[in-house]
Amino acid sequence: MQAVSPLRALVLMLGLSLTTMSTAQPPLTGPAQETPPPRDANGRVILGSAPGNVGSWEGFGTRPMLTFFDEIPRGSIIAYTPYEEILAMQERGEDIFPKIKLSEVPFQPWARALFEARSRTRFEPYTRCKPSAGPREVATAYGTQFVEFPDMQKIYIFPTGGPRHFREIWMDGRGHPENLKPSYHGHSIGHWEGDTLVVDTVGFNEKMWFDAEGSPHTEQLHLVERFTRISQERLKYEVTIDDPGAYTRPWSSGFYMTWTPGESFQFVCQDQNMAYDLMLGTEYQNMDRSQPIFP
Amino acid sequence: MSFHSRLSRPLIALAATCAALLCLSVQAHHGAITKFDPNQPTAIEGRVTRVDWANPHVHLFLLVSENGEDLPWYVELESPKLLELNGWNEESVSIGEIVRVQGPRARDGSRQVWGDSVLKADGSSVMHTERYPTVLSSLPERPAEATPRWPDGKPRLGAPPGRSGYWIPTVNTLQEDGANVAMAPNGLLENIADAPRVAPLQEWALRLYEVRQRNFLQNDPTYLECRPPAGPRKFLDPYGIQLLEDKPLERIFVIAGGGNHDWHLIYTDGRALDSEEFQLDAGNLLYYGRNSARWEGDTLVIESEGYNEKFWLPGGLPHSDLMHATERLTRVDYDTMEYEITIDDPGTYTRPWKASWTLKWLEGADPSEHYCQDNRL
Repeated sequence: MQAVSPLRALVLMLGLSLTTMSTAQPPLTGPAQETPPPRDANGRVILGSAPGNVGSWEGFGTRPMLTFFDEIPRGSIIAYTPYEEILAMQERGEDIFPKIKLSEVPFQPWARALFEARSRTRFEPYTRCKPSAGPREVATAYGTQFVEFPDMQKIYIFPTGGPRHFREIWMDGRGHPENLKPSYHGHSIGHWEGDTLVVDTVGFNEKMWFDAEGSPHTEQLHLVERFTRISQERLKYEVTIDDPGAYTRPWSSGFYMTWTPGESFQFVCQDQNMAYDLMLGTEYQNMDRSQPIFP
Repeated sequence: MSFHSRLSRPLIALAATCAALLCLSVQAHHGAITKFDPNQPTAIEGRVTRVDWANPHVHLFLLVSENGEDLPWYVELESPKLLELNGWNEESVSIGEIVRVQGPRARDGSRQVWGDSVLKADGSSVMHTERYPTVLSSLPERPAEATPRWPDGKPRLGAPPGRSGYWIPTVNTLQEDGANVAMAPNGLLENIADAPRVAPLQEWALRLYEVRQRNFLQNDPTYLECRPPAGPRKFLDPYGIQLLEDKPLERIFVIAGGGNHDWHLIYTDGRALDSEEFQLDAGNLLYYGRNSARWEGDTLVIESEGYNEKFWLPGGLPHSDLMHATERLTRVDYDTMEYEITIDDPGTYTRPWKASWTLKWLEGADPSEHYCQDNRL
């Protein structure tokens, strides 16, 4: 495998950090700073915007990781919070989402090796303006909207950033169809459990990453996500990753997302993304494309 | 016509002039005529080694025998979605089977042909589609229905409760109403001398339009780098367009069925186009411009401006960032949407001009997951 030149690693890091810069609020540390979530006429919590209360969700840091890095893959260029700091925050009683530790993620050996290889180059499809899925789609730079269309019995997820893709969640009680053709977003069906939206998705292709760190997956990936708006300002996102092709057992994690008031805007990945030069057909033909592990 | 079963048939390059029986019609597909030369009709016979069933175009990989050597050839076909609508799938052609292909060869001289016709050993035709655009011709017959409406009486731009669907345009090209200029579905003029009649272009814009046309509309930014199908192109894309009305928040989510399959917003809260309510979009030049719409009776009137110059209008027509567009959408019955756009661009055209066409409803489906980005590593 080719080593990444330091310059290109820097470009990638800058590209990723610049694409993920946002006007995110600082993390809230307790109920005292939060206000009750908005509710609709039936008393159920509103996940997204309401008249007079327009905004979107951004994960803390706008690129929340699914794991605590208690061990660092050799050669990794992933930006992470040192584990000692996580422990210190927990000691102080800060409301940190209890994520799984990297050492406990039940990778199959091939998946662990792929994860480590990806961590060295960060050749994420998202930075090449490809769609993402699952956690990576839900918390991206510049905000994510959850929009309910009651007449259609669907909920849409509209991220502002990235390739400006979207996900459709069927809420009409249907099951997953047989013979699903693999797709970037898979087929999502959802239902409410009280104030929690539970979404079940299968039918992913292998052309995307479901988290920014590149946790591997296969077409057997089955995601169960739980969205709970715990306050006006914060949404709790929980995900269970069930992929017998890549992991030895299902594993769970999640993160909090912060509400950012304001309208969305027209972001175009091919223009504003600093790493769009990774796409073929652009002027940057002298990029090293010999990376054999792909995507 | 008999079929050789061995890989012994040499490459046949047919005469450049179209004899009556051998005249091959290039399926006027946006990519085909840019990449493939109708003046190089080609016929090959070979063994299938791979079927690449992927966006944006399905490819057959063949081995063709030439002078005792097996050479790889590539047959380009329509997209998976369009082929599937015509009843084909990746098993329609098997690995190892012999096929005979006719079509124009790639302009760059590579061993690629556009598959106008693909015949199996028994002479049956596979992978053929109706005349482009294919989706329209496969719309099933439906009984007439009146325009569906919201409780407030306004026409629904989308499906009523319990149903689904989206809009497919009946044309894919842009020209001033009444011009009647012959052009391929990708906007390539049949006769370059018609260029001044397409729209009231200023002199500089006419020259630019002709340059783009003479280059077969290559380097169209929308396809080259998968940029958004901006301006009226989104209402002309054969993969369709879907309008999702978010009534409580007074906005419409516009889903582009083709291109980079993205979304943008049309606001219906009456905001002015230069209003600070657009926040981060205010004062910027955008692919889709800023969009604000109001109802005039049963017609949705969408005003837009603030377009950047990083895209082409369909067919390579130029524009400037002074462009202001007024679009009028009227759903005259359940299955029919009448569309009209007035382009007012004093930087490019000598006067405002209008173009109109119809979109038809595709019932029971949502736009498929088609991404231009699949063409790009």
